[in-house]
Amino acid sequence: MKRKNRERINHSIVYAVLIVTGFLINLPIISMMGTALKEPSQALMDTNLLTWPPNFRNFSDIFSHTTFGRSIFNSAFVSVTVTVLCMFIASLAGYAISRFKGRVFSWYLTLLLVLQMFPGVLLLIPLFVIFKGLGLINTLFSVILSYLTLNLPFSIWMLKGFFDTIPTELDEAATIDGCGPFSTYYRIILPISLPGLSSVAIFTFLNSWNEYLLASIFLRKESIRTITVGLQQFVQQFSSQWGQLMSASTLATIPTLIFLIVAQKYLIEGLTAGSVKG
Amino acid sequence: MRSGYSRNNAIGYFFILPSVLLILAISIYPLLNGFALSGMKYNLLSPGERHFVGLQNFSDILFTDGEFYGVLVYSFVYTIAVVALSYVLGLALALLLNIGIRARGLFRAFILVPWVVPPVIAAVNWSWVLNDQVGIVNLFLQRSGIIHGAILFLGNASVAQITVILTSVWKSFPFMMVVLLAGLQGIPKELYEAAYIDGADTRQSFWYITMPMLKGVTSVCTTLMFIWTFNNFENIYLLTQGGPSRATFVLPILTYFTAFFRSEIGYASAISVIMLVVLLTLSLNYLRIFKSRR
Amino acid sequence: MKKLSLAMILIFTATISASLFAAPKELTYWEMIWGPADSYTKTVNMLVDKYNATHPDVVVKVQMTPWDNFYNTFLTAVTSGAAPDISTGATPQPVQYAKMGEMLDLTSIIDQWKKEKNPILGEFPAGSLEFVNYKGLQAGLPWNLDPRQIVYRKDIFDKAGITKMPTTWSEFLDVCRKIKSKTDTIPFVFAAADQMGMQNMIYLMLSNGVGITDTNLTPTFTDKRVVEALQFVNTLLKENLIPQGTVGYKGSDADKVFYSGKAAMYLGGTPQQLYDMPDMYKVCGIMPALKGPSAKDVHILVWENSIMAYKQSKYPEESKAFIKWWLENNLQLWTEGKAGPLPVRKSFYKDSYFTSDWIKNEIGLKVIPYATSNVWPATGLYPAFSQIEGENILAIAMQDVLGGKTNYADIVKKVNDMVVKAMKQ
Repeated sequence: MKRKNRERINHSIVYAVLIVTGFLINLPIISMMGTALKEPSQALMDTNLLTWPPNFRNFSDIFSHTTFGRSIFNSAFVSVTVTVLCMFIASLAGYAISRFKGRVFSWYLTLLLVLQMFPGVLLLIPLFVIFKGLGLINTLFSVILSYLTLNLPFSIWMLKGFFDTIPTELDEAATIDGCGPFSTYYRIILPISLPGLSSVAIFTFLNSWNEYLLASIFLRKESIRTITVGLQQFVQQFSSQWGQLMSASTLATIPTLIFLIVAQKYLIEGLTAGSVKG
Repeated sequence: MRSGYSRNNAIGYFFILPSVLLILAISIYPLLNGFALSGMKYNLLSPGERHFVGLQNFSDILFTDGEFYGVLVYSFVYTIAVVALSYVLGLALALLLNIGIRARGLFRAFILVPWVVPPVIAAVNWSWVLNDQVGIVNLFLQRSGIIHGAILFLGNASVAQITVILTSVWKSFPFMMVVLLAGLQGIPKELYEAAYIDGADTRQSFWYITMPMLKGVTSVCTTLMFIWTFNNFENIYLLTQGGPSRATFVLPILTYFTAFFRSEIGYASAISVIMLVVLLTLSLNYLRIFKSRR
Repeated sequence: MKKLSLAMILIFTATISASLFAAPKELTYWEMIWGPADSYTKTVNMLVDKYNATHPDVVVKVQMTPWDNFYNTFLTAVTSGAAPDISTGATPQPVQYAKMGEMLDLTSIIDQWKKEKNPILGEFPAGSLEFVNYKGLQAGLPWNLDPRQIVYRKDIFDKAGITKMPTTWSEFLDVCRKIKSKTDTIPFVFAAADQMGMQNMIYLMLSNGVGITDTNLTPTFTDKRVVEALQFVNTLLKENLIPQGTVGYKGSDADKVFYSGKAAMYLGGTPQQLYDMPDMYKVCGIMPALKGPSAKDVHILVWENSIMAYKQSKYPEESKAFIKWWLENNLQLWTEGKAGPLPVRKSFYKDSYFTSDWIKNEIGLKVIPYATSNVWPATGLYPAFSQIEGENILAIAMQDVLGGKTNYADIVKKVNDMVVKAMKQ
């Protein structure tokens, strides 16, 4: 009884801390949404964070006059494709590096680390040359392939780290039960690695969703623009349509918020086989 | 260490094959290209005049460049601060969100939002909320009597150096939090129960169970974050462009300026190669220390 | 493997294109975002469609190009052999790419106009063609002028009892002081952290009769007139006539302070935001040009922007033909597209669009006649300007002073050295 009471008090402290941090962390986002929901003429005029009642003029303007809706679809398509492919390829590799011994694997792991270390801005021109050679400039494949490849190294690293914490006894038991390496990986290891997989998936998805540099260079046609590039149509050289810009970015964040709410659930599920551990 | 299928590496090679192919096709050439350019005098504006100069770029950077070392020092201070702070914040929030409270899913999503916002938009809104005249932070602090004059978050060189660290932490901690939360999920509950029976208090079980169990995840996520932060261009550039008076200038901005505005892509590649060597030495040693302590 | 498949793809495409013998020639046109999202793109597309309809042998495809990171977008594409056929772009672009040997010479368009006795030739302001002529190669043709000016709030001026517009820096300071003592608004706001910092520095320098270099391209940043400009900034800061945080202001911050009504005057580009703010639109005006203490004439910074064609184009003649048509027929970019910068062509100003809107009307009357280029007193763009602009070198001087430093001699020397270094490359 006493323990329960103490827990309740502790929990209310936890809530308070979470709410305050949550608010502080979200200040710029509240500022963004606040601006989006102001009447267009008030976007800059009004210095309050939020205004009541909200005004949706900016949003209707965006949908009726621009192709931003299309950009949201493109981004979703790119990010989902990249995430699914990346999870599959990276978990295979991460599993192999975690389970197989040999110099090739450790060298590969170091190479993956090195690949992260070269500043992205210098990769632009050579990447462009490659994709031009492949005839993929101005197609969504160019960004899908580059995001996939750019996200692989860290995904493999992270997943290898998570697989390392799963005891090899599990693999051995599966082998005795007659599972081959692939079905051990697929049937036994993957299901109990959901928290790790989902954390990497979240990261890959958001990296792809927010990427601007490559997208702005590879995707020059209006019909294939992703959201980060689409947002730029509201930015003129030395002035911007702040109200519409903020509304468009608010629109861009909503699908990701939904994705986050769904994806984070898997962060804590899937550990049914945890009893073997330790 | 790991036994697994060590006798049958062929299957392992097969498993890493898809990733190897992609990386060979897309990542290796740009990297090798960067190395090759670092030995050249190559100005993008006069592509016809490029020629091989050996190690000249490197000796110029290390011995005659007046800009390099100052920028290197702030780059390190900035990177270490960002990694440490985002780790602490990420871990604290992961621990809180690992407690069985209600609506934690919602909280988790809510706290991850910084990640969702396009960086350009985040930067504009940060400078609005931190503005000295109309920014909500200064208005709040002044109205509640905590401060008198406005804090010049981006208008004072040394304060700006701290502000960009904080906004970068804001961008980085969600990664730490998510990864550490996944790590926490992997710690068997039995360990805590056993410790509880042995009379260990919360603090003890944190230091003797949680932290050691998180070691693997910690080493990977801090290493990666160090590399990313050290190489990150936009976090600072979008907010201050390296100013005021170049107080927040870091190596990626120097590389960017050198490569594109000065068009000296050879020299810029050499700076990047030096960055790579520094990062590689540091991270391999760091990871080795972690491993040996395990 | 890869080479083989590439070769196969090439053969394949070659066969296909050979079989479609009369396929129209495709031109890619990278147009920058010069106006609001809802009207500008639409107008550009409408004009291009019109061109395509009247020229069946050619198909021009427009790709709207974001300003964010445009420098890289162009440089990467051009360096990798994937340049567009035609583009607009930032002021220094034609000469930067002419230096790389990537620009088509547009002299033939001018010659054609001469042959046609086209009145359009008389509409280019004096020196505007020379401005984008690099060593005899006409690297671009100017089409818009992007002015910098001070926008002021008439209502606040009334409240402060200001009846006479300032014409010199010291009168301007008095106006600021009056606003500060009589009202609770910030007298003056501008940006210093981003590229606007460099632009505002050049604005002040020109207004005091000094440029970045002299006519022989020798940097003149150590000139006493530059120091005077910095002292002027220092006075503004010391007397609290500008926000103390100005050094950290990007364009977006200065926008926020001015358009929220907290400030009385704003130095920047065309105040496009006012079109979305009917109440504010009514109470603002354009301030006449200011003269610094050492200026002989009035100079206002106006950026001249060009349209250009690339050597990589497979159809140079068609590209030039499009540019010629475009310059003859693009009035609607303003009247319907609501472009921010003003037209180069004088006859356009007679359109009712320019006379009915006070913003463009007043800029046309008070600013454009004193238009001075960013490289004045030099007559043509030089390639190093791209670096000076990109690295925001001049803004460093402004930022030093706004950060409280007053050792002007050291500051101007430091920045002058950086300019000298840039000019050498």
